[in-house]
Amino acid sequence: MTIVVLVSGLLLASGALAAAVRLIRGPGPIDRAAAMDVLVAIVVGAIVLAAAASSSSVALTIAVVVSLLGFVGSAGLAILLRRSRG
Amino acid sequence: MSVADVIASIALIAGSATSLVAGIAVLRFPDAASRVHAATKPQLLGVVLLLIGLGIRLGSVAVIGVVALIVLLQMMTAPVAAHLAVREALRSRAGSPANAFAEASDGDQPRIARELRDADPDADLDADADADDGRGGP
Repeated sequence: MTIVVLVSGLLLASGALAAAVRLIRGPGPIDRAAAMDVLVAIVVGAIVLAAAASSSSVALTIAVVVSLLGFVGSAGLAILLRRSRG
Repeated sequence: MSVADVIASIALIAGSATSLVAGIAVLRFPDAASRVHAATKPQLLGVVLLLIGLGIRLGSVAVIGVVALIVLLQMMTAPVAAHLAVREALRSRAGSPANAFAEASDGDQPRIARELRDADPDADLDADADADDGRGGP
């Protein structure tokens, strides 16, 4: 199980690194929002992986909150862009 | 290592690999709309696979309830956020789909614009007629 958690953590970290590069470089705000969505999904996955590694379900509540925060951030940015464009 | 452990391990690694693929796709896709399309995949498939692995591994009723809650919330919120983002990306292009395609590839914009114009016979005929009128006029 330790090897599985290690491999999964490395895969998640590599994906987070690629999404962070797009978050820094992205030419438009929608590109950054997409990269932020991937980062939030990876954070939720990391919390779930930590819960699986430690065999405790305490952190799952944090995963619920983080997934809802990601939706509020992305949808709020899209609505804010539409409103600022007029 | 039992069968359930093997299935849980496969689900955990598959979910993490989905997140990695989505990260690479967001980094390498050329367009804002296609990047949002790629970003939607780990929000459902990756998270659901990881949660399936967790549910198989822990296996209590309370954990499966919270897992079902997270899956339901992701299923409701991920398409809405992606739809809002892509609509905003397409509307900010300010123009016809031809302009959107031409601006999507910033490298060879004249070639794409020419191909789109040649692919549209009406626009091509109108342009030729205007050119002939200008040339064969007074």
